[in-house]
Amino acid sequence: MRDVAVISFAQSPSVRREVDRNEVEILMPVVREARERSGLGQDIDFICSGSTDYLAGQSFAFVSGLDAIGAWPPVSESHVEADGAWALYEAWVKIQMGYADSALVYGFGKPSMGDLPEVLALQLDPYLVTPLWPDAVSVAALQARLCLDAGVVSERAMAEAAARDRRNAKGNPFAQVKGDFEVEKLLGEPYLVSPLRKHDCSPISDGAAAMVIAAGDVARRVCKKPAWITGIAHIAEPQDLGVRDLTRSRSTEMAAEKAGVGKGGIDAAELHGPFSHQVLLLERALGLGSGTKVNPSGGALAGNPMMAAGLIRIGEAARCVAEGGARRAVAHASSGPCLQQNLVCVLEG
Amino acid sequence: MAELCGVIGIGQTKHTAARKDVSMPGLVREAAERALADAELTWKDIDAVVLGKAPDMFEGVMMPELFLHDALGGAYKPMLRVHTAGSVGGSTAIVAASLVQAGVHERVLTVAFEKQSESNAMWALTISMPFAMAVVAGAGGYFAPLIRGYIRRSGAPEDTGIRVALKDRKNALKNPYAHL
Repeated sequence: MRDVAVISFAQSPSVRREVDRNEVEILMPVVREARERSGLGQDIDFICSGSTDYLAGQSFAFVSGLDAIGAWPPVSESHVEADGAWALYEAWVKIQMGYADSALVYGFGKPSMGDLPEVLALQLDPYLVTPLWPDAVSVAALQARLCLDAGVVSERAMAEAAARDRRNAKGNPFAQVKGDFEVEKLLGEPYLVSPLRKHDCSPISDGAAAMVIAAGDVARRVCKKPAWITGIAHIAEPQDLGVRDLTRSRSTEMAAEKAGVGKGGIDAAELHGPFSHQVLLLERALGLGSGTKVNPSGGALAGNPMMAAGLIRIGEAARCVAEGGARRAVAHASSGPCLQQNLVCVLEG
Repeated sequence: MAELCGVIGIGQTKHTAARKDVSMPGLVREAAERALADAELTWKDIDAVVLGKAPDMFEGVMMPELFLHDALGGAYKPMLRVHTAGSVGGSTAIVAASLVQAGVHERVLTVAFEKQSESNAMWALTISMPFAMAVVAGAGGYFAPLIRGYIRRSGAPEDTGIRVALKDRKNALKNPYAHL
């Protein structure tokens, strides 16, 4: 395997609603910043993006995203209908096979144009489940109820995770929901969709992120402190909620095993859990202990731009390694209802 | 540096206007089972699944790979979804081949599909965004002016399209999977 490192990362602030900018306008400054910080500028071999048509409500919506990178003269590029974290995976594969030495990866989403929890019902089985229109919060609430009944989480632990993440987010200028919250007060709030309260849910965020990765020699030449990707793997579970154990994240456990998470200590972990009980499931699935700082950026509960939030976790984990003094960090990205598909990435200094 | 990668089995379904006898999972599974049989492999031999389709609105399902993954024997395996415009079948095969060439996996199942009868493809291609010109013409309406312009510039004979269609459909008489 070739050495591959994250050499630059940029993101837009996560906001509830980008009023004045379309996706391309959100993306352009982010891509420019990632290119400039990488030291490679336009000299990048491969480009891969992650987004989904149903946020824009238009077929081939990602094609307009190419306006942000400038596809003339023609560039070598690809697109995944998934979070930018999977675009990163495809780019990493292209570097492994020797097709490219450097790659620009980006993810973007503007869910404020629709009703996101309702739109996500369209991800479910179109014959048997979508016609019931179960919104994303209700589906997550079913999982949370199962986890509470099984005793793997408690409402207090969920509130504590939300309070911790949003306290951490105070240091993150890109975070959307941040501040000091008292756990007792949070537990006194009414349910949004029982057993989830508002604090248990990630915000709906518009935003974009871009990253440049490069193979060993290139990374060492242009970057003072590359964050080396020493493991990356992803696994998907069947979607049907009745055929998998929703009280654990088996696919995260398997991806962590393949990515080699357990081969050393983890100083920092960035987890893409859009709901507080999912953050707790992920901590367990990754085997994180007290020596790991979880979600130093605030994680998805502090800002969750759909199709970029997973890539942002990897960017934040890379920043922990490059700037934050972490020797080894783990990042996680998720896709689909109830943590259906999970990607785990290990970064080292 | 790259590993060699070969195609060891292929499968396709009968192409037709509306496969009303199968669901989407049924359709992709039919193609996948034929490819596995051709390769003399079983579901267990597959390391990862790469699914391509574009765009999602042709079936009206957002990121359909999520609900189709299980039907492709992908439970607890890696899955990638490729979505490019106009080139998705080829792009999907390229991503699948890359996984082998990079030495990440040994055997990858890759499937590309459309089940346009689930939805209305003409409608899916005609949604116009604010401040964008509404064409309301489906794919044919987008391409027709380009082709007309090409014929005019190149001086190609007026019956070029007819000749190509005739040649392709005569060839298709030998293809049991052909639609027309």
